[in-house]
Amino acid sequence: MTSESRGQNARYVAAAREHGAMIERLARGYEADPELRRDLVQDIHAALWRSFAIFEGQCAERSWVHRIAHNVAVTHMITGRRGRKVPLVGLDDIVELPAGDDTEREAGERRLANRLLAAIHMLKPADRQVMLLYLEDLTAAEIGEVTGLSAGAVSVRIHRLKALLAQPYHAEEKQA
Amino acid sequence: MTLDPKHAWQASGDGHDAPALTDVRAHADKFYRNVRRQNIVGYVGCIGLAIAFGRNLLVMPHILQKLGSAWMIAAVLYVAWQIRRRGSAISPEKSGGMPISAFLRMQLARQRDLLSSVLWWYILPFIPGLALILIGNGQDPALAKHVPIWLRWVALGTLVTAFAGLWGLNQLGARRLQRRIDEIDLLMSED
Repeated sequence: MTSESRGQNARYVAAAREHGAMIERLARGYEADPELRRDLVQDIHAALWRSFAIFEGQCAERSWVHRIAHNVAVTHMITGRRGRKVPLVGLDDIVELPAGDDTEREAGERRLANRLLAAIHMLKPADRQVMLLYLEDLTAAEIGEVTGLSAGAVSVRIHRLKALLAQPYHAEEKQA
Repeated sequence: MTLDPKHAWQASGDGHDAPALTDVRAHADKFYRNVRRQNIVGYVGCIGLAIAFGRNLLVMPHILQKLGSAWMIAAVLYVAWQIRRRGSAISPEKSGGMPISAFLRMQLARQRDLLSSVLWWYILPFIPGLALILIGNGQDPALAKHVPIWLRWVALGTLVTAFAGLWGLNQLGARRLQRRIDEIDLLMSED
């Protein structure tokens, strides 16, 4: 094994350890079918490993990982390996977070996470990417770097997102 | 109760560990093996067609049939080259330096161009060869004896309809992709 491939392996292993959970969540945001989702996660990891053969600090490593993961996921979407049952909408078309499928059984954070996931599945690609990146705690500037959207376009979407994400609190307060 | 959406999202999921490096490498190898296999199947198909037209070149009696068969061999090779040239997308692992919207637009534009220009690189190359073979068939007395004229017209009509249908479907697909590209352009032009 050459020193380059040892470096590639080491960088991949470190990145996979740090971002593995994010990749799982991102795959859930793009693919509802568990079997296809497993394939998508494997595709992302394979692309990430190969990408470290050419990564030379072109951008922050975190942005690199997010770009690779989202680009594999959008390729997964446009190659038609997933079936879409409902038309996709923009962030401004969602009035409140949709209820999950199993709200009676689930509570608290898990219920909120399921409602977030249901909203993500309804969104058009660009809004979906912004929402996923925002939930992963990237700043507006980082979201702009990863997606290529202007700072204005990102901040408009984050504003809409914050308004949307405030909805569950209202619901909880009404219930209390 | 106040819940933090970011915390709820980041705490969600099955909590799977990252896959082992050997599994990742095996999956990457499998992906490229599949691509290679698909390419080989395509090339074998092209070679099969070239052999079939090569046989026609040898056994068909009329010069126009021979010329048409030779043209068809060249057309098959040209289309195979075009599929290889136009079909190779940028692979996601090389896209880390590219924002998602630019990557997505590039992938969609590549597919749109492939579909919208299908007449020029996929349909037209076969037309002269087919025309020569059909005219040659009309001049071939042995064939004229066995194949009635109406059947030749039906065959020609079927061929034209198939090509027209192929072109129409591809144009519809290209327009659908263009709408998605327009959405991305609109998005990118937002301040």
